[in-house]
Amino acid sequence: MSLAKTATRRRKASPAKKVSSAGVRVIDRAVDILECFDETHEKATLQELSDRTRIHKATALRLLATLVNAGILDQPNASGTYELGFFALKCADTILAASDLRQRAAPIMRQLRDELDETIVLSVRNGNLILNLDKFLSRQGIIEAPTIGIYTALHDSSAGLAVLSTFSRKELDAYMEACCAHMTAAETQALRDSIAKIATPAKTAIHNRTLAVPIVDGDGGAQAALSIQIPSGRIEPDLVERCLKGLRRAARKLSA
Amino acid sequence: MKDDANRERYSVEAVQRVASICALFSAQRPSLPLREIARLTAIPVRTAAKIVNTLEARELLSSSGRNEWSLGPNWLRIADYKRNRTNMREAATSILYALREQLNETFIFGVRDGDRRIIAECLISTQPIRRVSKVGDEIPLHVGSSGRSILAGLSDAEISEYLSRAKLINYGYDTMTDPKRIWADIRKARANGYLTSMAEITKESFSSSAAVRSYRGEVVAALTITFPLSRLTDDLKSQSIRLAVEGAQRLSRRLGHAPVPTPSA
Repeated sequence: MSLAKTATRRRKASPAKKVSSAGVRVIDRAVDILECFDETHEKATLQELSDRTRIHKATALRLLATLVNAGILDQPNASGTYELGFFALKCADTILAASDLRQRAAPIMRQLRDELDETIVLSVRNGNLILNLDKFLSRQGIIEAPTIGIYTALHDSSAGLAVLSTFSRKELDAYMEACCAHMTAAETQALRDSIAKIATPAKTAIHNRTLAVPIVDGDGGAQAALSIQIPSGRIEPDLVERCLKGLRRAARKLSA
Repeated sequence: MKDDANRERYSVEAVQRVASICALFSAQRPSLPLREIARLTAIPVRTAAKIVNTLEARELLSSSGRNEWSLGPNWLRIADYKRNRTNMREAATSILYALREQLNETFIFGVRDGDRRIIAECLISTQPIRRVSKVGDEIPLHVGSSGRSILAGLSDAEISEYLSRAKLINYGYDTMTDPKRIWADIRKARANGYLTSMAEITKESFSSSAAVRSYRGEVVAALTITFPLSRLTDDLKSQSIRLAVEGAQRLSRRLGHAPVPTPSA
């Protein structure tokens, strides 16, 4: 899949507005360049970036110079390849430090990771979407490493399903109407059934090798969830049981 | 210098402004109203509104719904990629090899993991008589020049807490177990930017260490040069100190410790 297509797909679930005509085109282009760097594209030359973004080389050079000057990108060797700078890490630290829930959750997540040695993820709800906010990675050789900062629809992830399980019937109906209208009747029923199954006292969503529990507010709803991602090669009843116990204990500590 | 001048000449004002706006936010100031963003960056309000809207569409800013703005989740995603790619051990290895070209002694890269210093990379001298060590070896933070270099980077309160919970016992040959001596060494590390230790973990060895800092400015690791005491001379001692400090500084820069320039709006 091309980089441009990947970027479009990433933004699909975003709650942000579409680029308006009032937007600043040159900034869009700079962000296009920035989004060329990801898990599989660590470094890139001017030519590669120009090809991928379809921005003229001369314009790309000016944008790159500005991004490097600001510390957003880095060019370790002059006239060499470009890579991400440390600016984003500082911005991410600011976002995480501003979240009270994340501040409370971090020591609990670390403890749980140390206890189980599996990857622990904190996700927060934003309307009908859920965002992976932070993670503590397993230290084992083979790990599930979810990307932080990505929005998905609530019904598309176990963390989101855990949140949906706390919805009232009316809230769930409204959600299904808004987000699941494209589904067949059978798919809708299957989703409702799986949410109903989670909404038992155990309250644990299991989806794609991920176990999740909601972090419940004072009013019984949930704006966040904790989850554990286990690689398929390690999934065994004993580990799943220990993870479930740990997750429920952690979520109780974080719930109001 | 020439490169900086070229970058300045080619810079794009709107993109500079993006960096200026995003750099306004901090843990103490996680969200800001548009007018405040405009005032602090000296950008006209209408221009700031256009920039902010573009950044929101690209998830680099988020609207809090009270006409206030905060940093958006795209920074989390980009930071995640950067964090996954910033492999301290990988960055250290090339520097250790370059340093050992200058001095054929044993180089150790030890990272902090809670209250311990763990060896993440180790390049052993090729001399017949040499100090050996291995990846994965760990010691408490108050032990050795490497551990105490990391300890010195913590706040006084954190060090006091650590010393109250740590077992101050002998972990090797002549480990520092007296808190007063440990504090004196910490002050020395802070003043000089390096520490040395003699026959502390291994009876006949000498070590020079310097702290490695991350992009946050936190001490995350230490770079150590160690060799048999029988080779210790004033010249070798100063050379090992110089290389430990130089290597730690190079590695810190690789980990983003260099201050990020924020262009004026």
